[in-house]
Amino acid sequence: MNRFLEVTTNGLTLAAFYFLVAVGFSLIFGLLRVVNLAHGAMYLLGGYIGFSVNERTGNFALAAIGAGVFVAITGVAAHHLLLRRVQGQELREAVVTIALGVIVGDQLLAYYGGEVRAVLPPRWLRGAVSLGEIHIAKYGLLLTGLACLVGIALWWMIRFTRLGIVIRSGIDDREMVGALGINVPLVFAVVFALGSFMIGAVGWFGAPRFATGPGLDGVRMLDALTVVVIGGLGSLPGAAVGAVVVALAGEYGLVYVSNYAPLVTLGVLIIVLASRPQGLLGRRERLA
Amino acid sequence: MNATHTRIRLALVVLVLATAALPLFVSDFNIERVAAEVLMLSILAMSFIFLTSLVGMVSLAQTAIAAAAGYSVAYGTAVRHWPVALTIVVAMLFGCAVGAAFGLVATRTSGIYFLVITLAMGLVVNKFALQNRGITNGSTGINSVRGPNVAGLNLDNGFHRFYVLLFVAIVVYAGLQAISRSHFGSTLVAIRDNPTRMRSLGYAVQLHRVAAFLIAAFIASISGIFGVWFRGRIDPTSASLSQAINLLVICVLGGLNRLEGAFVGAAVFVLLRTYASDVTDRFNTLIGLALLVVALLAPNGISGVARRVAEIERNRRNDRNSRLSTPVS
Repeated sequence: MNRFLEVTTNGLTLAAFYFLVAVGFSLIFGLLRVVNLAHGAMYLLGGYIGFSVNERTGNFALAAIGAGVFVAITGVAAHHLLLRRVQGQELREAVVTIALGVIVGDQLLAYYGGEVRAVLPPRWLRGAVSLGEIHIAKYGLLLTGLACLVGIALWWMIRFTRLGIVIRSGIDDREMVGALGINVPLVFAVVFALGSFMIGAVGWFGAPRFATGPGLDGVRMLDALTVVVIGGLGSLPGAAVGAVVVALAGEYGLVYVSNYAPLVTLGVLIIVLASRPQGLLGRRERLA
Repeated sequence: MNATHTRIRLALVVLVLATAALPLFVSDFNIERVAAEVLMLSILAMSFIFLTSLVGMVSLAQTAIAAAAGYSVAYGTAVRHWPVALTIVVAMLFGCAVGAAFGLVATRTSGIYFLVITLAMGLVVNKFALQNRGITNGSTGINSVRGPNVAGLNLDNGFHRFYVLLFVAIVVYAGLQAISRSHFGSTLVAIRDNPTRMRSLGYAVQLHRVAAFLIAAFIASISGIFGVWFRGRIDPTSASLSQAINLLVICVLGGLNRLEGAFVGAAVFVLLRTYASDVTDRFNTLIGLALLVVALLAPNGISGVARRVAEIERNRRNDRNSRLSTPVS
């Protein structure tokens, strides 16, 4: 029973991380309808920029902000200069983002080299907290707190601010929002910047728990895609539910199925998609 | 229109003859490694383009289906020492069975969901092959698989393999063309364009989609079998995410709406990968840039550009011949 509890708590901290990875991806899809397949590469870019900032300043938080800002600027530039040109054409958008992801991944390999980099969390976040016989890594708790914070802040923004109202109505009817005199391209840029900032910063926040190295872009891309597709593309609560499902399936699989653990998560994904293609909390797309 | 068709057919015959005569002009390495791989990837790319162009489904599972068939061949040949015919039949059946299973589930979705679900299914093959010891032998894979020796054709010989591949590629191309021109092909296009109407007209939409997916799986299996003979081995990376992306890159570069795109894309990809290393270490950046340019400027790929150029040329000639046209100063 203790083992089960420990696996569950571990799974939940992992879920927090998955939520952070997936939420920007889901937000961007929700409003812009862009399946950003460069999301994994943006995670990796954030991780490496974080390393560079951390090396120069020695400040963990500053590294996260630097990573976020850098990725946000890159993301908005890419969206403005390239992605906007193929707006609304699903496959071409996907191909443009794949191309960008491939280029970024390769350039990072060229610049930072092939070795895997690891970093220790700040001193006060090392070690574990013990609750009875269950041990939880402090850093996992930080990620959980961060995920809750981001989730609540986003929910509040979408629910109660003017930007949130525009985003919500933009999801429903983009043309109508534009016709009402709202600067839709600007809102798009803001949302893209926000999503990019989050994934860039998470790239750095992930570094102490998962070493950063080539190939991680593909892994994170799959994580985000699995989480968001299970939960429902473009839905904030969906991203949270998807993250919990994916993380717990992965952790339980690792402990109870061991060898074929990766198949458990994929199996869940296939079952959800086959029975409820729009995801657990997703809305059924209108037939165009 | 008829004259154009004749000309296209003539061009195809010339192209095939030129390819068949390639060994006279280029080195053995270029035939046995480069050209053979181009043909092998072309067959796989045709299975992909068949689905995108006719059915409107972007399937990232094609490499994994090819790998499933490839694993059967490797297992049958190198582990079990089955007779050649039995191995091939088992491999084709297994590839198609995997394809049918994938198709039955995946065709319930469409658009981006279809892409994701086929990606996930492909990765199931990848992870299974990686974790299984008894049959697929984990990350090592199955090694030293010899090509068969049938009817005087030795599939271990690079030249024999090249000509067999050329023949198979032509047959696959002709077969898929025939299918797309058939009643079944028109039905698929109609379903792609308006599934709701076709359903209300009484067509079994889901069944047609699965059938198309099965045809594509059949073609992918052929490519997978040749892939094992070509490399002499197979391991889980053959069903990996990057392989699936590579196939997508090939098809996008070549052009997603015409079968010819498969050959163009595969040739560009393999030539770049083989010879770009002389110039730059950054092959992926090069491929990414090429992909970006094609996606932004030429949505129908390189074959689409070629077609467009030919069209413009023809229009100009027609203009010149037509009395109504005024000379451009």
